[in-house]
Amino acid sequence: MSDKATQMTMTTPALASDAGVFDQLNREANGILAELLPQKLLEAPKGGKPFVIGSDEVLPEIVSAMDLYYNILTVTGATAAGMPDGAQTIDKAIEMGVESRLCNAVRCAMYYLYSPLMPMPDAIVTTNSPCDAVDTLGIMMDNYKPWAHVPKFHLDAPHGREEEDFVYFGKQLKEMVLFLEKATGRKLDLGRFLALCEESNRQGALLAEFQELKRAVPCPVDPDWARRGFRLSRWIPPGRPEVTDILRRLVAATEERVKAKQGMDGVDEKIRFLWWDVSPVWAGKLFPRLATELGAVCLMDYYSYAAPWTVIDTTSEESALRTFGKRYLIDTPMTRQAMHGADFWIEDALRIVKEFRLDAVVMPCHIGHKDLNAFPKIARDACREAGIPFLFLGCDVWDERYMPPDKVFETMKTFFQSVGLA
Amino acid sequence: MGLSETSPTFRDLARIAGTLRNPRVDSWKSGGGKVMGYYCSFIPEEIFVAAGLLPFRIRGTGSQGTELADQYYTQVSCTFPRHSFDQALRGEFDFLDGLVVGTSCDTIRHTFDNWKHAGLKTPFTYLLHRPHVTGELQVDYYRRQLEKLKSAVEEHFAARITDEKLWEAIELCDETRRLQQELYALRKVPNPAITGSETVAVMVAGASMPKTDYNAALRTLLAELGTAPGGGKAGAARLMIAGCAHDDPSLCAIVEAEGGIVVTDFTCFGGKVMLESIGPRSGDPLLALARYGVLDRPFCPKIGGAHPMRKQAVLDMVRDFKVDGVIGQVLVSCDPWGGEMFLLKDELKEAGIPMLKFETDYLPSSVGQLTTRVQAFLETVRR
Repeated sequence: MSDKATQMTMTTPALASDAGVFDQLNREANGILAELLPQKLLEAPKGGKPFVIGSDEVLPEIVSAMDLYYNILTVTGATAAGMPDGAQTIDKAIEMGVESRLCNAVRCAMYYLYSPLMPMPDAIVTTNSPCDAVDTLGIMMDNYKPWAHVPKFHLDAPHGREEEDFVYFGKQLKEMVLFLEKATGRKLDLGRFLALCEESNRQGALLAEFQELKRAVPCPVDPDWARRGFRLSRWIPPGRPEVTDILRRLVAATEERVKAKQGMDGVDEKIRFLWWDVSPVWAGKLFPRLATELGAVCLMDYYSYAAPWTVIDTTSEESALRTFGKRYLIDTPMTRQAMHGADFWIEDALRIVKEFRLDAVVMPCHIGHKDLNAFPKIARDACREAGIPFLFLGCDVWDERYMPPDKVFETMKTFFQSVGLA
Repeated sequence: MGLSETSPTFRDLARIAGTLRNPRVDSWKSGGGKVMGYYCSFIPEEIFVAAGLLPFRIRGTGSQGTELADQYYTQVSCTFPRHSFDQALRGEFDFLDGLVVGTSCDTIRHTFDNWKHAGLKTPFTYLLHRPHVTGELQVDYYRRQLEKLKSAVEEHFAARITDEKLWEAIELCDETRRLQQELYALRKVPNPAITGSETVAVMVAGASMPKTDYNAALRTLLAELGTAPGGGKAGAARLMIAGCAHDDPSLCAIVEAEGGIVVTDFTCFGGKVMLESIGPRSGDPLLALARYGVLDRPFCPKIGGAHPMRKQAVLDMVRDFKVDGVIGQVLVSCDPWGGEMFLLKDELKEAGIPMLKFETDYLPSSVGQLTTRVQAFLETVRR
């Protein structure tokens, strides 16, 4: 994989980098995030560890504590869509006859499944979250014929946000542990699991600190660091001290910039906006241009969201699993925004606008997100009532052909000008 | 000669299916009765019946467009909720005293949000949390959700739902299912006396009028059909329709106008509704309802771990009804049914059953193209 491809896939090009510190952090983060590149994901299971595949991210600390290799097929699909040949992968998936408006990240995941490119797993864990498309992918994995003999477990992520929902999900996680132990022959090392949870808590706290620093006006660093921080701490096998170290140094370096009242290099910040959806794989063609040409900075998206992470209660296995369940249902990006009511989505948006002193809300409304496509009016009305300029786009975050980045740029520019922000 | 000409009972049911607010609803309301609307076949009507309410399944019958609803949804959203919600915005569901939406697909789930946001005149609204996996843990969770729904209904409608009343309601709804199974069984013969499009009307009426009246009408219809001559299609290709919100007889009518006969279906308003039953009485009725929804009838493609059951139900129908080919109908933008059809296509092929899969809007917009595809399909399954 070329450096260019890695850069395109793993990050939006950094808008600001203190020559020494941030460049070094970039290099280290990209080195780790490169593990998410499809080719590496496909090769990794050959390492000898039992291989568990999931439809969505729910259990990184558990599988790591059991010393299993874990692949999130949706992430593989999403990453594939963001590769230089992503459009071809999407087209190949369409040729397979998948439903015409299914999310393209899931289409790519289905292509990897049916091609067949994925190695044979030792166990499959599917979940109905976070959206109809990933739920559908789980059912495809579950019924993929060459994997018929592979043991399977199905998690039911409830749409509720009450204590009984967290307890219910926690019980399922307990059952899942028993399932994985039986399917892979590996035992959950409780001590290691709790230690990983504690490391994960430390990373969550550092990410929360970074979020606080992003409140500064002007924004001190490329806000996309929060998204990268999430991927480092959740999609890469968790609990790695080097990730904690990167996050610690990121916070320290950002703090220095805040003290110096220094904004992003080369950006005269005038507009701060919320992109309330998944950041597109073509963000590198949009956000830097918005920042440098209009001074418009994207402060937040789903995967760099501002909610503090639920602290895993490491008192016991049961308490850890229950709080883990809460973290998944309430804090995990996409699950937080897609599994609950429109009111929850809006509360988040309005809170972020207030806390981060934002000027506008952009509802990209990825075509694959059937949830978002079902409540644009509620979102618009809520923003209007709060006096916040609101823009609805309707794009495909995985396929720039649907609405090219140039077109998105022009639309956003016109919008910012029309509402008096630019 | 169709049933419309020969059976007053059928004519009455077809009238009820052909409109939203029908004379039976009017009569119920004028007698002081309340009507509870609901989306999706898994919502347990039994709780509403036990509370003395008339359950009314939401559909988009009579809708001409989605102009009003399109403020609330985008063009990417499934057209079934868009049409039905458009009608709600036009006041056509104002006769509802309550609405229960379940956590089924993402679009239906947020229709609950839209309904509330639009300030529609529905005094009671409730979102029922339904599990998306089939299993014992899920039964336990779902039972608790049903308990909450029951309490909310009791409180709002000042009703007391005893176990006895719930079991009576379960028995009444089981009787409906049994009669519908009898109706379907009549179509197993070589020359059925009722067509597929007529059956759709009978099934839709069942979710739009009081159960007692419906059961009585169904008994009369079954007696009439028992002595009626066949429909004159003895050699026609026998087809099955599988898919989602199939509440409009026009798709069957197209197929049957081209020479086929629809002998059964696996759809949300049709065959899926009447498969299995809950009784006999035994213990906790809410637990029985939960077990039925989660373990016995996980026929919504949103439910994980249950595709083999759905596949088997389809294959059983193919065998029992001597089906020559299956028509898979997916509403555009429906991820769950899109995935289900993707699987069924290969599974039916393996079983040697031809399948025609097509995507359509709730109101089929390209009838000409559909007719051509049906014709071509009939050529492949022609006996």
